Amino acid sequence: MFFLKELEKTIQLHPSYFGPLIRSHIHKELLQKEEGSSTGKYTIVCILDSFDISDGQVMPGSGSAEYTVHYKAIVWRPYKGEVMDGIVTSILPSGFFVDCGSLQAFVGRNMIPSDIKFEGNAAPPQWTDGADQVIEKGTNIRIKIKGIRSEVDKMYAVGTMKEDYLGPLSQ
Amino acid sequence: MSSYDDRDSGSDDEPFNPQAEIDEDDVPTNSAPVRRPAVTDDDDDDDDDAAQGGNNDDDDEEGGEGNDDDDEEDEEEDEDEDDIVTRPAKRRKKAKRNMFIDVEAEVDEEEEEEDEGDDDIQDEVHPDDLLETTNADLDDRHHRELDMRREVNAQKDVEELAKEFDEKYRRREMQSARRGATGAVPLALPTVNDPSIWSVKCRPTKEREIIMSIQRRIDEKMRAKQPVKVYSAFERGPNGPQSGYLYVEADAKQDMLEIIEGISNVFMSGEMLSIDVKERPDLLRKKRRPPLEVGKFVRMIRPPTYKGDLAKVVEVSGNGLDCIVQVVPRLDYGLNEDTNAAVDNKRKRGFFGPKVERPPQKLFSEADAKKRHMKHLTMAGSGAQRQYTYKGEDYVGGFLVKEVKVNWVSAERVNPKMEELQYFSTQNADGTETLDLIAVQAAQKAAETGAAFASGDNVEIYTGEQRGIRGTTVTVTGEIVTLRVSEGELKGRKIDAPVKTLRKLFREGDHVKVIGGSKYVDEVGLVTKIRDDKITLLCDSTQQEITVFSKDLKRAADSATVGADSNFDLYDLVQIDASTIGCVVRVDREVLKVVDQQGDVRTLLHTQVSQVAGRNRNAVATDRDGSEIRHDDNVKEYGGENRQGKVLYIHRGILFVQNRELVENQGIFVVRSTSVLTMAAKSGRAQTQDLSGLNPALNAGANGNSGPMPPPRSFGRDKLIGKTVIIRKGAYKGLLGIVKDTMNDEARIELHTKNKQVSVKKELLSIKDPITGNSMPIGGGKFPDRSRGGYSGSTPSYNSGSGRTPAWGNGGGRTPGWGGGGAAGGRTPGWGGGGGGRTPGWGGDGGRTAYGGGDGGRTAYGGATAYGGATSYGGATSYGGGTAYGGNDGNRTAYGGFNSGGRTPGWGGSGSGNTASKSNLSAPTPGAYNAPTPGAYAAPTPGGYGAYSAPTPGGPMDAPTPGNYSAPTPGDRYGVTPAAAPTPGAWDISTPAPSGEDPVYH
Repeated sequence: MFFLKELEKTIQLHPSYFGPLIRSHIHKELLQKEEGSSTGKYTIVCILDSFDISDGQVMPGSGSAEYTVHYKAIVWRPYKGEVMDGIVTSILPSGFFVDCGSLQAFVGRNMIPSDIKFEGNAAPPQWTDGADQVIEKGTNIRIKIKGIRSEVDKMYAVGTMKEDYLGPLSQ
Repeated sequence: MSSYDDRDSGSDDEPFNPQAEIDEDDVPTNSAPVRRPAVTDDDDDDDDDAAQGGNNDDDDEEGGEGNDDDDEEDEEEDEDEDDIVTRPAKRRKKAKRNMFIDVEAEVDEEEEEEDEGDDDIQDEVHPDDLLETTNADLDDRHHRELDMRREVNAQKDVEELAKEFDEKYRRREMQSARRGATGAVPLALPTVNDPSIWSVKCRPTKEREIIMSIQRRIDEKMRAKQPVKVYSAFERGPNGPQSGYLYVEADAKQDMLEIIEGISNVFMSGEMLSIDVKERPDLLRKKRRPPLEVGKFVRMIRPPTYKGDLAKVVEVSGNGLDCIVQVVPRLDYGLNEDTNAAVDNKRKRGFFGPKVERPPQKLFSEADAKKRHMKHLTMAGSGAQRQYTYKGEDYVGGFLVKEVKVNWVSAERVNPKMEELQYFSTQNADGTETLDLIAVQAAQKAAETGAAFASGDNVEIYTGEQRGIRGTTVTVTGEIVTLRVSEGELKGRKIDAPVKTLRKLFREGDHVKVIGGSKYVDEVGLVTKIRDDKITLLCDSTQQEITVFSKDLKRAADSATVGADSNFDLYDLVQIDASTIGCVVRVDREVLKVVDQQGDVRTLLHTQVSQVAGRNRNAVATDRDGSEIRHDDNVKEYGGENRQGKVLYIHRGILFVQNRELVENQGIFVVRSTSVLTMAAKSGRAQTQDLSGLNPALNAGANGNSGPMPPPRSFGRDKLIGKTVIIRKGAYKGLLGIVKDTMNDEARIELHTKNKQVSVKKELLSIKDPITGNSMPIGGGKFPDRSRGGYSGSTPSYNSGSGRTPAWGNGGGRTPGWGGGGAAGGRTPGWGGGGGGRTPGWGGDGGRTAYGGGDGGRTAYGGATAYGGATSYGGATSYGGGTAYGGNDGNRTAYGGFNSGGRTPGWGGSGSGNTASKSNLSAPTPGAYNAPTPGAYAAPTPGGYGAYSAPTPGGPMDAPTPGNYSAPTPGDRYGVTPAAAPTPGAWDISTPAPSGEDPVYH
């Protein structure tokens, strides 16, 4: 789910940037460092333009300056039970991995309907029911999140395909 | 003391009791007579002796019974349970005996009563003992004593006799009545008048020894005809809550002390408490031993080879003494036999030597057995029913089927683990394996205690009336768990439930940790499947699915570390030996799995790994193209499996690369750096550029001298096209041809020899003069074309520059441009952009950016040659460098000079005026971004650069120049600029490209 969230970030700037364009530097830094990053809880999708830069403070010893930037960003946080679309990134006999944006989800064998079976001899390997449902690398797929695990800068999830309207999407 | 010996050896069988109910009754029953003497005999110390006699006779009696096994068995149980509470035991036996041997028994009773009633002669006790033991050893003396007693009886008053008989029978009636009752009526509970029981601390596990010592002491005393003032002494076994305690029954503390004094392992200094009267019955309470049932899991106690192994009961014999169990065999099939060893050597080892490693558990294999021990093997039956007899043991379906005594197995704390149970799973017709879940669950539950539950666990009641209730545990007290119901009608209520009816409740997707019960301890993962008690989870660390029991799981707070107490973490780089390092791919509690630098997986003990090598920050490797690789760069295998991933470690040209999508070795693979290509290192590095590296002042020294300059680029049509070339290598070696087309590093060549076009790498070509046949260098440049990667395309500033610079690149374009204002206009922004771009980007790809500027800048230098003379510059020194350009024009190596010039503060100072910065901003290049760089700041300086910028506006050279420069720059300086005119000459030589190529200039 997407949220609008107010965030704060401390940016350090080398003295060589001190000058009239310092604000644009900070802006650039902010975009570069924050956009697309994940805190383990959510991913920052987009930083909105208006933000508030505090007065810089020169750090003793280094000469760099520290700025605290308050900004608003659109963040994305996956929830347990959320249905999302993703792209299959790898196929294993025990299931497959799906990338849903910044979230990597695993759909285990037990979370796949029993009529869809692993076909290791196919090239590339795939999960298929022998008819129109084929899951291979690159397939667009809709899954439901069953559980989420957060690490410091990344999220992992376990998903299921065993419910109505879940599964590979028609290309 | 045979009976005690029995007990000793039978310590393990203690809890098994086929006729347990008798014991239960007996405890109170028996105590009745015991107490009585104490009550009545207060006056007479001799009674102690009598008591002792009782003790003694007990032993005798047992000795007598030793003949028939069954009886002994019974006794043993009693003994075990009562542990040397001699009196009660005796009583019961007497009662039993009475049923069969009526006369004697009656006498016995009678006599006993007499004892109690009359306390006449101390000897009197003995006869009744003797009566009991008549079967065993008949002693003359005993007979005489009996006679004496009869005499005494005879002398008694008839009245007295009647009273005695009355009493006797009344008691018997009571006894039988009590037996008949469903619950035991505690008629003979100890009273304050009974002797006290003291608890004495002793060394745990030595309890039995101490009792034996006490027994010996008592024997000695009796032999010496000394009074024994202790009624009984007992212990409750080394396991259980009463381990480390000894109980002695005596009238006075002094008596008790006397008997235990000086016995080793008794802690005399410890507190000796007299057990409260109310608590005394509890001392003898028996713990019921779970009965053996077919299909149940048990643990082996003996033989030693199978000690602790899980076994399944196949059959329990009718008498309850033997059972047949199914065990996974531990056989070595004679493979470890030492054929040279002396015969008796082996035996010795069994007793004294270090414990021989027992073979691992493995189902019976016919093939293995046949290898060496064909002679020991016989077969019967066929198919699934096939049986083997190997070395006198039977094997069915791979299992050892063995008849053992029931006390060789233990049904307590079986706690089967998943791995062990795998063997016992039965194969279904369709090939799937199923466990006998009920048996498993029974075994699991039997062992379960409240300890498996912690406050806050989600639990579910799965059997009984309250089945289906779910809640969270609040408190756990022993076997009772209090839970707060979280669902349904009872929501919010607190209810108590026994542990046995509970199971932990997890939901799919829960993040859980394995806390025990299997080899997967400490694994953390997400639940993917739940079936009854079995939960399948996807391990975080290995991405594998494992199945464990729910009781072994708990909800995990966060990602956890496997092998928390290990010094090593997953993905650590460790030193295996002096020449070998490896990357940890699995941390178990005992072992590490490490991928070494050859890519082999080794399994090592923690102690075998000397240390964590750690990451060398400065480690750099080069890929097959010579591009540098640093940690965290993305690389791709060239050839092979084309695996790609992130560089975790660089070790002497070997890369440990991680790719999460690979399953084997946790996604770690090992490659030589020379067999990979970097994928996005450069741009990646640019993104994470180190700001401190941007300080122009810092970089000036560092970069000026180090790092080779990239070669100049040529733009436009490839000069190779149309040239006659010879192929120097490969299949077409030596053939002459004409280049028809080129792309990147390849050229299509039309061969002279046959009418065919082939693609050949440019570097394999030498240009020949079509007429003379002499070799000529390609494109006039000595540098190989290294445009692969980001050099040309990836840098934005370069691109932006190139829109303008092609003409510059061609060199010649500059010269004409010089003349025209347009050229100058083009140059200046390029210049500004160049200068600007260079400064911030210097550390990283900025270097490249700088070249974009460089192209433009070079031209400027053309002018700069002239400046060499223009000493008036503040930054003249740098121009000195620039001057070199003049000379070096012909070849472009002069870049170095350019750099130094560019970086000098003077250069910055010499930045152009407003016009310049304006053009910077307007330029679509990132130069705009770079505006704040010194180049832009240069604005205030009145440097000769004004000269450069002057033409920028695009007007004809002469017109703006004076206008602009009249103020800041001396005219003569400006005049010098055109003096650059000589440069064009120089450039002309090397750059023949027509200026017409660049429309800007026209």
